[in-house]
Amino acid sequence: MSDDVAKFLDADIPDPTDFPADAPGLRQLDEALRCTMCRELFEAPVTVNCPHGHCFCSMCIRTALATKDECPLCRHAIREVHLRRNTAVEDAVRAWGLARTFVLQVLREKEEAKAATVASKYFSGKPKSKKRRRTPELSSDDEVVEVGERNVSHSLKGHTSSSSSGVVPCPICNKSVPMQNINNHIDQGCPSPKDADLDVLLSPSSKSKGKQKQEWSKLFQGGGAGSATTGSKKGKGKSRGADQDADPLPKIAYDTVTQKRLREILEELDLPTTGDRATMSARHSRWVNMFNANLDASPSQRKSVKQLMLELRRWEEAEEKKKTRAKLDAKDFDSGQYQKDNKTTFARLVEAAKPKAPKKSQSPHEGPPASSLSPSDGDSIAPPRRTEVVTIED
Amino acid sequence: MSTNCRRRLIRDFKRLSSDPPGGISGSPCPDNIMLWNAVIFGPVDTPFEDGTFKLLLTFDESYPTKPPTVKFLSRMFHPNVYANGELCLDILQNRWSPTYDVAAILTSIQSLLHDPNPNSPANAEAAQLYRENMKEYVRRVRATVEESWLDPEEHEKMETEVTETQSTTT
Repeated sequence: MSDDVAKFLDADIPDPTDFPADAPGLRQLDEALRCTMCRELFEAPVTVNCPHGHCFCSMCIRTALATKDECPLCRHAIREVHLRRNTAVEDAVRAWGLARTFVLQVLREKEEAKAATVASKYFSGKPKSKKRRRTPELSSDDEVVEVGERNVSHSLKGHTSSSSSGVVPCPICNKSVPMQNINNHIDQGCPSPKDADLDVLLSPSSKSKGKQKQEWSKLFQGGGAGSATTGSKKGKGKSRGADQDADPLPKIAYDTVTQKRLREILEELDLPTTGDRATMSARHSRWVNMFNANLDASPSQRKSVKQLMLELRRWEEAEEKKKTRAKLDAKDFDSGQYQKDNKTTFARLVEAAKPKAPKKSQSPHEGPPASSLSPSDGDSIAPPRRTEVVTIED
Repeated sequence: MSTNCRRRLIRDFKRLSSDPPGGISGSPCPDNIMLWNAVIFGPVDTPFEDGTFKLLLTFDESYPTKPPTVKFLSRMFHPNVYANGELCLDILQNRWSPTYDVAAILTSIQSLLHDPNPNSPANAEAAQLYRENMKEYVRRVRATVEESWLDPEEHEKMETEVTETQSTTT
């Protein structure tokens, strides 16, 4: 593998592959506690009303249901109103988020100890090696585990507006946390960061251009969005923070409301009213999903309204970028030239795809050999491995 | 959030690298994780056997809610592949599920080579031969298999030769 691409593998993104394939159950455990859509540890997990009781992050399934009313894993018809919180999984995820780092640390120490014993056999072991085991060295492994878990945002710096304001998404709970607090945040089991911490980043960002941005920073500056400060202003929308007994927001059939009414609704929710009808509709529906998904988390894990607003703003910025980015022009694309330019890449890929020991079992129809990750039970919540993909298609 | 898509793609890559299904491989472009190159080996016991077919996958920020665009770079002769390399595959269109990853996509395409669906043809000639004249179908497919082994330069040379002979005969 070329070094250029290896950087993606070294990226600090926690993944089941962080665990050795031969450690019994660990990869499977890490995988089982991840949403099969986003592959993050479950955030506000919910069970859907398919016969298998499949489980997803609340936000993931709500987003998916906007496109299609079916379970993404088994294609049974399901409905958003039937989503149920899965607190058992949520508790398991929270505990595993903490245990994960520890387990990796223990595994690494064991690995180092083994390596040291082997080394001492060959090089007439020195007592020095014993000490070495305990010292956390910065081997490449360490980077994945120790530095890795915490600096998730690093590798993605260029792509988020967050890093500029010193905020990173927590690798465990995915909440926005000021960079300097991230270690504490993880150590304390991912409490919701206090609004005060977020004020740093909500204050008018360094380069707020355009009406939309001004509008956003106005909202944050006023502090009116925080659940604590709202209280009595005008609407019910205001007082609904991330309170324990908050009601979910209703959906709107956007075709049936006037633009004026849409603007009023956004205003009631303290959301910006900029943009055309499509932008406002998209903003509102995203907000409803985020707000309702947040209610599927247990109260201690919920994000504040301020935090949700920040995420909404980030999402909108990303959407803007998506619109403006030039797409690969299909007409001008010369596949011969492209292959020439990427000759070495493809040569490497051909090498990688080459069946190691040409066996008959390579045929996809006989089903590839069961990998160590494949669950024995087809109904389990593990993501569709290759064998399952074929069945789902039918 | 824009990073969700990129994080997911990195995980797809980790999984594909650590536990590669036989006969497929893929990796993002070093300067753009939204663009992937991939290779699929023609499945054993099919006319495509031993072919090394190259593909390009283009993702956008809506992945995995929406499927990527996938096209063959290698010339294909298959009932469900258009002349420009684009595929007619249900899971890349209306049967997409956000739980699929790159490994699942490539494996599905591999099994499409195994099991063409002549009822929704993207290449009418291939579909007809597949139904009515298997011998000729196999011959045409084998030609693309041999072509897939060539270097892009060799390939270009061959193409110009072909067009030259064609123009001299007409």
